Amino acid sequence: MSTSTQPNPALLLAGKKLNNDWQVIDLIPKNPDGTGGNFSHSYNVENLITGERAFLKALDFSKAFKDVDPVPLINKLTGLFQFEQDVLERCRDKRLSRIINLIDSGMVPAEEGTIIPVPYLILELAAGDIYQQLDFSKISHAVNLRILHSVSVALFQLHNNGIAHQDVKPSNVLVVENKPHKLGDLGRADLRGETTPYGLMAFAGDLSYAAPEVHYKAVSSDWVFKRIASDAYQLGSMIVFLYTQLNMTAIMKMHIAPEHNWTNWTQTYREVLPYLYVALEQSVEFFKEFVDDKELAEKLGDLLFQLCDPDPNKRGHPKTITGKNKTISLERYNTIFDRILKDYEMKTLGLKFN
Amino acid sequence: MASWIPADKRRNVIPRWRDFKPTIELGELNPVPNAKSKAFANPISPFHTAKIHDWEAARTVKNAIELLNSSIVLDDQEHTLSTASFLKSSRESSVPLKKVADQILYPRDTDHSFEQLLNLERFDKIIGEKIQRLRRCLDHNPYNSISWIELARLFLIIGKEESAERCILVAIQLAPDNRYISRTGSRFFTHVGDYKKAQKVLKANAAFKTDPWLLSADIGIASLNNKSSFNIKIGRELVASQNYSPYDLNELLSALATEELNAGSIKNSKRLFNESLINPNDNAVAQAVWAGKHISNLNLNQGLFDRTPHIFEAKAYNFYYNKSWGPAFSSTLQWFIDQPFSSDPAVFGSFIATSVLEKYDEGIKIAKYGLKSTPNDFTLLNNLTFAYLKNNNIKEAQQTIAKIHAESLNDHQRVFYLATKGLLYYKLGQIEAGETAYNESSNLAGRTKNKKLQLLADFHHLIAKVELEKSEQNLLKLDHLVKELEPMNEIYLQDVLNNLIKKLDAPKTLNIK
Repeated sequence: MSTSTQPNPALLLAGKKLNNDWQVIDLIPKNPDGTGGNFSHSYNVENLITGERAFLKALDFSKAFKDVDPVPLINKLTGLFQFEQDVLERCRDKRLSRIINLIDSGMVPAEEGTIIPVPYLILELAAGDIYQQLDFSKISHAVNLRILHSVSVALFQLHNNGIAHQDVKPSNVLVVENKPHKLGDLGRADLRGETTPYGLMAFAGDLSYAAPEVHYKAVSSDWVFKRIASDAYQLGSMIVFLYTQLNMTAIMKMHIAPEHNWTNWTQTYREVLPYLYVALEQSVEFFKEFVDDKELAEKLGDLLFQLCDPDPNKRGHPKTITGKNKTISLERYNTIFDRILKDYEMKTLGLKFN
Repeated sequence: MASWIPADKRRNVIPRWRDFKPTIELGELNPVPNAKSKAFANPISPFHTAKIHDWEAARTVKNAIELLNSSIVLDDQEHTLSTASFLKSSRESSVPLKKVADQILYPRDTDHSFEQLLNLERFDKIIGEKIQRLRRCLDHNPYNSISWIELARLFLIIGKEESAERCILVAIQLAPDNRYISRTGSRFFTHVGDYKKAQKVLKANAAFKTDPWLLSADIGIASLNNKSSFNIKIGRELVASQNYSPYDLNELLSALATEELNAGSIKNSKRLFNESLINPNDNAVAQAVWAGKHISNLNLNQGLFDRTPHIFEAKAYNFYYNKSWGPAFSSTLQWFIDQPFSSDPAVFGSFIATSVLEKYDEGIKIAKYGLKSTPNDFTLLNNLTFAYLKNNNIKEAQQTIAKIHAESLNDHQRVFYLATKGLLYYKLGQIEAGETAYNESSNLAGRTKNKKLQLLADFHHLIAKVELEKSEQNLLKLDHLVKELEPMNEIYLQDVLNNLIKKLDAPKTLNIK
């Protein structure tokens, strides 16, 4: 009896014409620089009618089939893929301009010799994430502020529709040609009032970008102070990252005494909070050191105190987080980042607003 | 005559109030063990595993940045070091990354604020700058309760008690359950004499009955108020529970030992003091040094003095009792910088500088700084007057002694006050008035049956007389007094007398040793 290796259909889409006028051009090799998923592959595709180029994300079931217990894994993968598709469709239907656009979706049926179908999503083509755009040796305030404005708007658009992103990090901020930056990868999102794959988790995204309350296992039970607060923190963390290439959680951890950090702390979050405020203070000082425009450093430093407040109940703009109906809203930050960007551009042009 | 806290005065285990950073470094803010909750170790994150995979596949700046961030957050030492090392040497990595990488690879302490403060000339300027900086920080980060506490401490150092209290109240409001805030808050109210409030702040902390650092403060403050804490039993239970490290228990054991000592139970007290010295902080060592005058053979070995950080108070007293006046004064200066709002180091420092070392300028300086945070402290005002008189600054001495509210003094203080007044009259040339004041001082001490104080008043009276007019007879009397006072722990007088003889160039035939 001989054994043969089954071909992986998710790797064989190149050259195929899909049912919906899309032609698969080529497989995008796993970027040696990128953190690609283990259960999907990417392709360049082209619309045969309009000539539009796009990006195809194909779900790869093959590893799941080889698992010792394949059924639950296949179920899980299908559920996650379906969920991401649903969220992207919702964003498309609501015309969320700063979220990567879902153009189409479908499934390549199992072909002869295999039993594995390949579901796929066709997404707006991005030129890569912001790592490809940023030159770390020469900080551009204008580029950084544009990115921050786009992320803020993207998050606000999501929040306005009951969606929390949960995984805002540099590799999920995408560069789209001739357009503002967009937020991608909604696979870890959570929907307000709905059952979602990661809804029961305190935090579903990349832990290294998570807010401190996540690490201290002190996440609120209230959706806004759990999910929106987390996104707000990650927006603040993005400010620090763009100037230092370190996220706020990493910088704060470096300023927290070892006995107080989440690895060693055994008491309540309330008790450790005063030490986290000290760490925040020092982290903001550290950040400001690397912003050569002092006026801008002050403005962004102030935003950091608001967005990265270690207490999620105090996080966000003072005008929305205090008072009777306190909540976290990023709406004001859209205006703030826009204003800071315009001020900066005017300043570099030698002009001033009256 | 100058005075200090005599060895027979009761000392209590009151929390130290230092800068936040040294307090952390001393381990006084470590979490206490909690049986219900374990430390929050993160499970292995799939994102982190993927980043390690990417890093191993391609050592690029992007992969290093991603893995460095992740490794710092998730405590992966191995990859923190390997990525930091890569980023430090990579041409493509940014300035902040290189700086962080450097900090990771070569950690060092760059805080020189303590050394800066040792320069008393610049003390005011440094404190002023620190206040300004903290105010700016609090404008941006008003929820930072630790900064409010730091600001309160600085206000207290420069004598702005009301401003300090406002800051303390904000901090307590923001973080009532934090040990540092509760202990420093209670220390503040102890400083201003409001013991009830001091204990209330401690009790408001949710962990009060399970945190030995809070219970020890409560027991110490109650004892300072001449009362016995209601929580001694709970304190004993914590000690017996074996749930806490010797370091976590050291102040509690010391406070309980002091209670036992005050109750006359020397045996129990000795046992508890010795247990407190297994892994003590400076406060427990200082308490044991104090108790050593009442209990023999405590485990106070040189090793303790060498390895316990910030042990300035205990060292100062230890040097003093060993007649090492210079090192005693240096340690007192360090103690003063460590606890600048406390009158104790300023009192002891001004006493040693003036009465023992005869460094009057130094005595004046430290007394003046001490008076900033406790402007009405009798002992400091008296020591300052004495230092001015010995330095022949008569006008300043008159202005200083005028600030003492003579009517509110107790008999003990009055003995010192009258003796200092006597010296003032002598310096003013009013010998008769001087003699009367000295005699009143001696008589008052006699009436209160304080033999030591009476002899001290007589000793200083004779010194004033001899300085005015050299008299062999008086020198012999002084020598006699020195011998009488030596067994009463007044060990410095022989040196004072020797200095005087040297100054007067007394005949060598004088039979004084």
